[in-house]
Amino acid sequence: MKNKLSILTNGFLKENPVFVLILGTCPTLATSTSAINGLGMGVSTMAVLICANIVISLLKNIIPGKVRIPCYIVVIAGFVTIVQLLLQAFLPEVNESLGLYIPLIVVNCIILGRAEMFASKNSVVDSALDGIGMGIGFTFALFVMGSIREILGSGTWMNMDLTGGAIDPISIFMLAPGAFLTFGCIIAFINWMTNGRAVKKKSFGCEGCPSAEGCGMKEEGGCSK
Amino acid sequence: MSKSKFNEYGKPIVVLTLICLVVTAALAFTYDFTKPIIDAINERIANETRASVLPEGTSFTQSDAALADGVIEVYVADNGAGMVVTSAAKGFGGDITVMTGIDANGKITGVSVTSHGETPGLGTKAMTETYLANYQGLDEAVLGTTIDGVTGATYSSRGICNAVAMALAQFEKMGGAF
Repeated sequence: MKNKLSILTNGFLKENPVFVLILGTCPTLATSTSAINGLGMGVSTMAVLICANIVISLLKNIIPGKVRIPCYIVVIAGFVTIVQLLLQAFLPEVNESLGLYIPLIVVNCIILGRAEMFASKNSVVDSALDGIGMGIGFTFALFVMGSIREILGSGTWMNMDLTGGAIDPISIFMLAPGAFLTFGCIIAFINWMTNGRAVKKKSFGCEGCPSAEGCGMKEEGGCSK
Repeated sequence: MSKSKFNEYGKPIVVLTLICLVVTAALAFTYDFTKPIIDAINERIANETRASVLPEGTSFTQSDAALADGVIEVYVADNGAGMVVTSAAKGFGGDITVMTGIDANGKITGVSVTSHGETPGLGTKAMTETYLANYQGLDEAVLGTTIDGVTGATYSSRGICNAVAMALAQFEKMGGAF
């Protein structure tokens, strides 16, 4: 039971996909212009992540190793399109503001990464929990970044006016450089909070590599060999 | 063909094909299920937008007049209050589709963006109701002269302005008679 709980909580801070594993940086920087956008993107990604993890875990013994990546991509792309159609039908406003970034979930490396590193090796229940945990971690990261950028860059939060127009917002936080500034500061803060424990020790072998589990070179003694 | 040969070459093809078929079926089902809802939403939004850019118009009929460059469709108010022109111009991330309401005197009564590929939170700043309200009452759309752009959304502002100019050109073309 403790094991199951740790799978669920791993994604939140210890292995947070955005702040610790530094995966999915492109959608993180692009869609975190407001708290609402970040939340919508996070939840959409989480839905795809959970479904893809479950299906890939179910199929792990059927899919031959040679074609596993195309198989994963087809499954993931299918779920992303379904999510997009459902958003268009039931939450048109969210779909409108996220625009292009919904179809781009297909190439979000968090989803392919979890399929390859976790779902293809673990049971269905564990994979679903991993999907939920990683999804919450991603949503949390986008929400925090979105909130910071929205408050500093527009003076609003969740579309509520905070400053009443008394202070000029710092527009650069709505632009790409602001995304990088926010991203860097949050990563620095998390490292400071955890004394660098959240990030695995920097070593150049497989021990220091977050992708080691899913990498074929591990058995052969690492990529340097 | 021996069993190991099949596992080596045949199985990957069979499995991948099967997975593609199943996913396609699931997509077709979802598409069928959501299409009427999406169409209804688009139709409702289009009607509401038409009424919002030309408040005096109550019902609209599509016009079959010749279209100016960039103009997609023209709806004329049944009560002669004016017309609603849908036009598209290039923004930062592809075409921006804009609906412009023009009254019988050629003055803009309202502007609304119906579809776009602009950056959320940046280009979309040029689409807020407060900004688009600046177009009301204009009979000419020139960026920097009759209307100001939005900082950080220059391309989007220009795209919208060009689309509105196209709509006004369509009004001229029809000679204000409809």
